[in-house]
Amino acid sequence: MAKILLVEDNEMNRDMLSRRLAKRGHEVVMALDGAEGVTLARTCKPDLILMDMSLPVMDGYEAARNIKANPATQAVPVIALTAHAMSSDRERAMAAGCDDYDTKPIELSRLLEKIDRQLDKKKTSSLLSG
Amino acid sequence: MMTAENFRKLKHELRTPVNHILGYGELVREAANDAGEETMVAVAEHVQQGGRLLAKLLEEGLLPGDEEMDARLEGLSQKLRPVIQQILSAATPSPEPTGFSHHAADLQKICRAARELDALLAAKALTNE
Repeated sequence: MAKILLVEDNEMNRDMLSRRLAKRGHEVVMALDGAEGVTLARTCKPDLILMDMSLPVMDGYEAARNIKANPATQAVPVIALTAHAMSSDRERAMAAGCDDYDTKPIELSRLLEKIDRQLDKKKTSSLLSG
Repeated sequence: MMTAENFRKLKHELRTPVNHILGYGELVREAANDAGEETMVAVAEHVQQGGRLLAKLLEEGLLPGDEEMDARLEGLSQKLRPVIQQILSAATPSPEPTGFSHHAADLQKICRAARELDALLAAKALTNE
């Protein structure tokens, strides 16, 4: 199971998702804003990041750009969690460097598939790079 | 006519408590299912049904660039508020079934989200008067 960094400012959203992920064996670390998310991405070395895109202090787009620009964290997959299902929001998330996206309300089975896919990709990439 | 930015904010404001109702409904259903609490599973499923209906009504009722958004909001509010009351009723069963106390905190969050949505709709109605 993986260490997942959840960057989400809404307390109930954090509570709901962290409990459901923990129930499935993942270790969940939480950040409340984009700036904290960037810091914890560096210090906690998560296997994957779930990033809400509407965040205070630093939004999810900026946080994703920061994480992907840093050699120490760029390999960590980032899945954007968008409240809006509009294609422009998805495009913006991918342009910021996110590896995938999901829309709220979170359908857990769908999100878990995306998490597994990203973790497999990361593992394969690590094996190939030696 | 409502600006695109204000429309996005409105949609986000209204969807957030609906997402909470759905998410906590799922948490209660899973936990009750694991514990074999059939009545509590049924309670959670009623809550989730209400949550899905709210989400559907919001999706259908909130279309961007709508020049008659104020009138549509009032119509939408009239459809949403009875569903909110149904969710509140489902989340506060009487008498309390077996296992209710294990889920009380999450059911309270569902009620809080439902009341928050109701208050938002009431506030929108007031500003449109």
